[in-house]
Amino acid sequence: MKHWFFLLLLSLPLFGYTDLGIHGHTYEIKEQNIKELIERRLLKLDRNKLKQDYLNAIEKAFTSEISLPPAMRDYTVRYQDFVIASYDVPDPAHPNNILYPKGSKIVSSLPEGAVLKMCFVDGSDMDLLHEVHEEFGECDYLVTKADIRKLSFLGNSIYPMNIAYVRRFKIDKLPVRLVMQKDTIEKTYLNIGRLKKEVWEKKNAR
Amino acid sequence: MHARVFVFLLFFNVVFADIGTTLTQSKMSAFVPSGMLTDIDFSRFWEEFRVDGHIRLDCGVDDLRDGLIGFDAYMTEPTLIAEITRERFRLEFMQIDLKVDNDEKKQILQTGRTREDDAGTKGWLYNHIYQFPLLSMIFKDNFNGAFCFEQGTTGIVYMSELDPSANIDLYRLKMMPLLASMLTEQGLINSIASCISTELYNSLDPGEQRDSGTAKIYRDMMDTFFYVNGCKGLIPVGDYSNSPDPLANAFNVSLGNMHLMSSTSPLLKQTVRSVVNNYSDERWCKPKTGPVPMIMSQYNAQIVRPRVGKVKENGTTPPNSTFLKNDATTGDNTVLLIWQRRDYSMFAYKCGKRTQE
Repeated sequence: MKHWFFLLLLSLPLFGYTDLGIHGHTYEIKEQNIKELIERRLLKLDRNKLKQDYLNAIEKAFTSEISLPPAMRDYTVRYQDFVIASYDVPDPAHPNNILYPKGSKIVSSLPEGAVLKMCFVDGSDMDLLHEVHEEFGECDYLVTKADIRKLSFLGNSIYPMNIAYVRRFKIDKLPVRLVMQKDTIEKTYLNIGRLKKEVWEKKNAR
Repeated sequence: MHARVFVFLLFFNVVFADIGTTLTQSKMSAFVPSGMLTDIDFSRFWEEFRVDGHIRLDCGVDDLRDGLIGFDAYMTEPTLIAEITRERFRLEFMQIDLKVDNDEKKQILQTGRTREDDAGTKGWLYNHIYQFPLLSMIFKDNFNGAFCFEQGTTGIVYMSELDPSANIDLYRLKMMPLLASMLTEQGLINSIASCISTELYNSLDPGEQRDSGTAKIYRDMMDTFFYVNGCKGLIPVGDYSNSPDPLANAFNVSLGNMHLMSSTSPLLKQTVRSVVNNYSDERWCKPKTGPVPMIMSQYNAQIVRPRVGKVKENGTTPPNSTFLKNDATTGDNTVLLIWQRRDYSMFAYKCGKRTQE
């Protein structure tokens, strides 16, 4: 009896349905998905300006703006090239072991017989740069304060000075030539005072 | 899924009903400066976005603008463009050939070969990497705090024509001594483990990649063997790749130069917690510089030119040239969109520019 009562109760909505109509204001449900949102914002971007921004950045890339003090005497230093591990470097052979504990020395070596010459120079004074080039000779030149496209007299290997190289090789004064062999680096600084004097004497001699 | 919908509705009153499979299949026109339109699938953003229930209270408060309470979250977004070209100063992304006064001069390699000589036979390539913080460009500060899109300018961060390491391989050994110390026979053997892990990780869907314990093992393996480019072997030294396939070259060389950028400058920040930074909790609060290696699992790449492909983990077998079989192109000039992942504390993360420590 109880079951029949429940069945009757459940079937009541089937007969009791009534359309009550629409009362008051209605609102359309507007969905805004992220795809459309991104698309709309993309259309608003000023593409020409953005392209020009990129081109300006590329134009600037040819001229380094790094400032370093001049070397005030001629001198040479020679040292073993290494970096300090800034974290516990895992051993490739046994990844659970540590190969270089944090703070330890990692010596940087070149293959036997390989020699690299890298020269860091300031290009703000062209006469002086010519004089530096005479002394350093063939080298991979990293130049600051000058557009490298205008320095073809330096040879075939000219690059804008990059802060990564300045930091890596601890360049503190200019001009300096680095000669790298095996695990050593020989740094030769040129006295800017002497070079300026030589430039002045050459000009007067003409 | 519910968490992201909830948060979005709660804080931005932006209603969207379907963020699942519909978007997965959808393509949309994306911006490229030259006006060139490319179909990029941005559904990756929503596929990877997660907020978990953990409330974080330990992000430092420097001033009143910083949030006090955050929710651990995870996201990915496009941040860089990497292009590979066969021609010097060809800017494929912008469809421009840059005229350079001394371009006619040949770059002489240490061995006496010229790059031009090698270009035809051994695959010297030119690589440019642009900052491309797309979402912060289009949304400005609208969602700042909630998503913390990568900030930054529209600059160029790498041009191989202007880098000695790209022209003379030996400099790269000097610039990345840690990486160089790993270039051993054992390192090559490890590439097998790295290869398997990377392929398996790549085969998981974004949700599984984030949440499953197995995925964590794969991810740790990829990050530990940071000097190995998964199935492609050791990280390429210089802008040189021995692969005969131009698309494989694009993935390899770009990754090698991203390693160089990570190793030599604070430009690329670590934004994910990983085995190589001891799962540092600081990454919940702000991006950090170093330690030295690039975190492999932080980035993945998507080919967008000549044609749009899928987002792929670094080190997986890249699409090869058969991918372009119906296109009238050799694929020699290629553009990749680099996606960057981020672990962060929603509303408490210290959003900022790349230069910020």
